[in-house]
Amino acid sequence: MTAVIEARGLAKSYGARRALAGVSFQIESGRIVGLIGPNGAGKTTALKAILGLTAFDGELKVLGLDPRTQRDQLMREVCFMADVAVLPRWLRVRQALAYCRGVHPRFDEQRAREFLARTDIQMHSRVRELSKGMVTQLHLALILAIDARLLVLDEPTLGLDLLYRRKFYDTLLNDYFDKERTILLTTHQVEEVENLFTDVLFISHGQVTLASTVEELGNEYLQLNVSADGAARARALKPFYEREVFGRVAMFFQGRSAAELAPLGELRTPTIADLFVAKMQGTPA
Amino acid sequence: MNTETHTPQAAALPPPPGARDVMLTLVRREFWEHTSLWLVPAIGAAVLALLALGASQATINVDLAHLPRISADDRAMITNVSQDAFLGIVYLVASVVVSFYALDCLYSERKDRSILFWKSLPVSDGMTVLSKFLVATVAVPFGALLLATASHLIALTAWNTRAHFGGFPPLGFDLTAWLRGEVFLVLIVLLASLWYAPVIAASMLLSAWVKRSPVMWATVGVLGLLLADAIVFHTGWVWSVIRYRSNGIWRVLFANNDMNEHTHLLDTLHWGAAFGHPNLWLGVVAAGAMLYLAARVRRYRDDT
Repeated sequence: MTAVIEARGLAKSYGARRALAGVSFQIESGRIVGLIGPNGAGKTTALKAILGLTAFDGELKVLGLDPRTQRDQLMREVCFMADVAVLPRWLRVRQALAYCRGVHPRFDEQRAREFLARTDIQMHSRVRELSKGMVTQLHLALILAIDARLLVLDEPTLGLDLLYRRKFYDTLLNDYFDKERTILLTTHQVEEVENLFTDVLFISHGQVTLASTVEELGNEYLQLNVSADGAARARALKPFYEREVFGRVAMFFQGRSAAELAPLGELRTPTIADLFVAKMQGTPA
Repeated sequence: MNTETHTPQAAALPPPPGARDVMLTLVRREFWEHTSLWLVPAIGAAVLALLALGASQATINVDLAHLPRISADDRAMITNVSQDAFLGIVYLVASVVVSFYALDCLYSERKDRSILFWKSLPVSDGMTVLSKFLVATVAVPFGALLLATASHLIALTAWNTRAHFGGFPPLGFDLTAWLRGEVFLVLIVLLASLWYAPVIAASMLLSAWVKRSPVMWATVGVLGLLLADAIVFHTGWVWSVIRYRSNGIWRVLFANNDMNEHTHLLDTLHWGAAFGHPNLWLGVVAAGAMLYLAARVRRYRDDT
């Protein structure tokens, strides 16, 4: 299986600020990849480069195409959803469907209608009359109906309540995702979606600080919870980050075996959220 | 170049929309967003029709016996002049709407960030810009002509109905004169669209370019140039350019015409000179260049 996205030395500066400092990564087909990083880390810039929305330096192939010069062709196979506010407020639901049908060779209107029928959204409603959650559902309906190979989501659930967020990701997993498709997702609510990811890509200060499948993460990284007295012995094994929680110390190790660590305390696989914080705040491993 | 291998499920979908279908969808989209593009001219045409209906109900105390008979030539002239007047009014309101539309169309999508939605679909920037240009130079002007024609036919019918019951001298319907009048108007609208194409394209380029308030930039820009010219350079060049682009082609078309024989305007005007004028086609070329630039700006600008 060839890579869906291949970036080599991807770089972009806004004036003096370097948003992406020559990053390289590869995303395989059939994966759900979490692009995770603090604000201003370069996530959105990376997504914009992938979608051909911004100029950049370096090499980038998306589905074998160059987003700079072959954007129109690329967008037939790529779907993109930014945060909830991008559907124009004057647009009617009916018009949104007619528009997609009119311009997209892979839009299945029936599918979109079936999905919308399960919501409270009316065909004649305008986007401005819908709640934030409903706007997202409408956008999701359009995306589900497009037979794309790559779906890029940039903070798709920002500002939605928990119920809508849950519904959004459930629909995405159950009705959309399959082994032919790839989803690239950024979000700040990492805890909620970490079970979704098959891969993670941490990005910080314009650099990729971690790129791994979730499976490998469990082998590579371990979290050890030790009592305060046992901390010194564990610290000798050089955790790259530690944090005190209710009198116990949570230490994060890279490249240590479970056998080595298990006798020292309670061993567990770190959550992606914890690992992210550890990676961002700890010393570079 | 590697060619894409499509999955079997993709093959089951209906055939992809062709360039013409996409363009029609894009043009429809513009009328959804900017309802004033059809609503304002439609209201203008409706008001004209209503006024004509109202006027046909007026009572006038004229002794028909003392009215001079209206000759066939006069009837044809009245038909044509009223056709022109109806189009003139509907076209005027449509032009005002189109001017604001051209300044707004590539700006509003950035302002409300919906450009991220439009750009998530496989429509090129060139197609998008072209669709907006065609709305401003073809759909609205010729739509205005259709509306004016419909409204005028209602007015003619009202007049003739009233005449049938007495009170008005009957106008009848001179099909030849009417057809000639329509051909005349089609040519006028076409010439106007070609002549003003660079103005529309420049407005659209500004709309794609400025960070905010294209209407203000257009006003300030033109006034600023005029003032700078008047105060500093004293050339009068800016004013002459504006004046030329406003009426230049009409001076060519109507040169030495005493406008008395309206029925013969189609024959006496300088159509060849107007449609063959180099400045007309230079303007069209300039419009093409500015549209290309506008599409480039839309393609590569990154401020969302």
